[in-house]
Amino acid sequence: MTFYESIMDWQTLFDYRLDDLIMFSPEVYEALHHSYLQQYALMQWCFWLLLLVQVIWLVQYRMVLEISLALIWAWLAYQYTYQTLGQVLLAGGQLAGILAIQSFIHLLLALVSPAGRLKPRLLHIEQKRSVKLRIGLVVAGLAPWQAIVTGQSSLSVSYGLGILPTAIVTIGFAQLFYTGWCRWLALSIPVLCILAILVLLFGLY
Amino acid sequence: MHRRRFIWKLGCAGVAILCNPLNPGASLQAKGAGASLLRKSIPSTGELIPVIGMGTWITFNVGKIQQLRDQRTQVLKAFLEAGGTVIDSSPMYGSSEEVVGYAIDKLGAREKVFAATKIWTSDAAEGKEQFEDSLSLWGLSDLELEQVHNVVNWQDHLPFLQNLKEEGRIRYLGITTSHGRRHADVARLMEQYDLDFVQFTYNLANREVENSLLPLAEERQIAVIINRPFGGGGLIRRLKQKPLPAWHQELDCQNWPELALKFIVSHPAVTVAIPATSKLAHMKENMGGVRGRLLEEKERQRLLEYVINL
Repeated sequence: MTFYESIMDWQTLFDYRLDDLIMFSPEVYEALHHSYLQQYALMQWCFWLLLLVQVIWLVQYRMVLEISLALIWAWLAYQYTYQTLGQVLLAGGQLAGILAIQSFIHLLLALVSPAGRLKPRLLHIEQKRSVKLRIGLVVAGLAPWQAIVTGQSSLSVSYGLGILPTAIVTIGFAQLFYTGWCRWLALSIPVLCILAILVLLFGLY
Repeated sequence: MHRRRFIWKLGCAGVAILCNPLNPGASLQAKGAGASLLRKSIPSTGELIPVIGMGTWITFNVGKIQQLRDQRTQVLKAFLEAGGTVIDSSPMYGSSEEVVGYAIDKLGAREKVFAATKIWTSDAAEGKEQFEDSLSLWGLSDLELEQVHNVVNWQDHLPFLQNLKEEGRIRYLGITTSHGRRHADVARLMEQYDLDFVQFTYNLANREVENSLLPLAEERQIAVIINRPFGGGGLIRRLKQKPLPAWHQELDCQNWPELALKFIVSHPAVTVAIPATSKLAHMKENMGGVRGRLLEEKERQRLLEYVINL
């Protein structure tokens, strides 16, 4: 039985407030990130490099780009959400599952033919606008959004290591490539992730 | 039950009966050794427990971060050194049970704690698993108190807890709620079942239980654990910004946490309050509430009026 099933089964969902569901302190949240950053400092450099490669080169190869995004979301699901946040968050396993679904969605999009509605929008965007969008994606990916929002340097996770910058970049790529239901498929979970993180930070700080 | 732990508990129960042989359910102040340590008795057995315990919600949920685990161990050490024994946790509190178990093991304090935890699930089979998990996480062979968290699926869990009690794997059973919720359910169960403990919220800012659950607990001879004695921390943060009453030393209290806790544990129906903290300094402040004397009713009312008029 999952955490959420338990809550629903109880029929006591409305007994709980937001701060009841945030079951750890800012001190612990920061310490977890500090430890995570120390452990994977090298990975952060790799993810930054990958972002540059994705934005400069891989945008021309949608399938490869989607596979690289799938790997990044799989990392976020397992290493960040399950292994790190899961230490103090009962729903860590369920949240990791949601992020794993995002990883699967990217694999699915990689396999789907880019014909018809999946035709890359990038081709239709003017050169100037495309350059601006790519620069925007790099800036959004490198920015340690959690640290900026909270003023806590220990939360300086950026693209690949942290959910917020990765979700923003993923939304950017979805905007570049897709229209219609494919776009919604690609960006629904990242949008929910951004909202969830903002609610969490609002509850904690 | 481990032999040393059994002998320790047997000794505690013996002291309780010797201290108060005629009226084991009544509250009292322990005399003799540990002269000023305030204890109250559990009505169903007469066993004495210190009036201040320790909650672990949020504060002990530190995951595997070694530095924080060791710091929490120091908090638990301060609690035990000040005379505390009752530690309350729940499977709902993330890694809290595991961290408490780690700290107990580090301090070699297995026989000194009054271990209270909960079952928190709507599934009967999972409730049984949670009990076994709790034993493993706390590093104990038995628990003092097992409670049904927020009265979730009490229909299945209470009979299970009754069986555990009969088997000697727990010594007491109870139910809990918090934030002033589910009081009607709790009252009904207090009337229908043979409970040893009930746990709910009561503090200077939330006195909803004064006219309902507290008198009922007294009438039914059920021990009462008070959670959120500082209103989740918000109450004490606000109080600390205000001046202490000029007459605080008349009450044998040195600071706001002591005043707030003495107000609670001096209620005749209350057995123990379980403030939670992650800070050593706050633990020392809290444990001031286990020393000195209980307040008389007129002193409680004076304190309450002072707080209301702040």
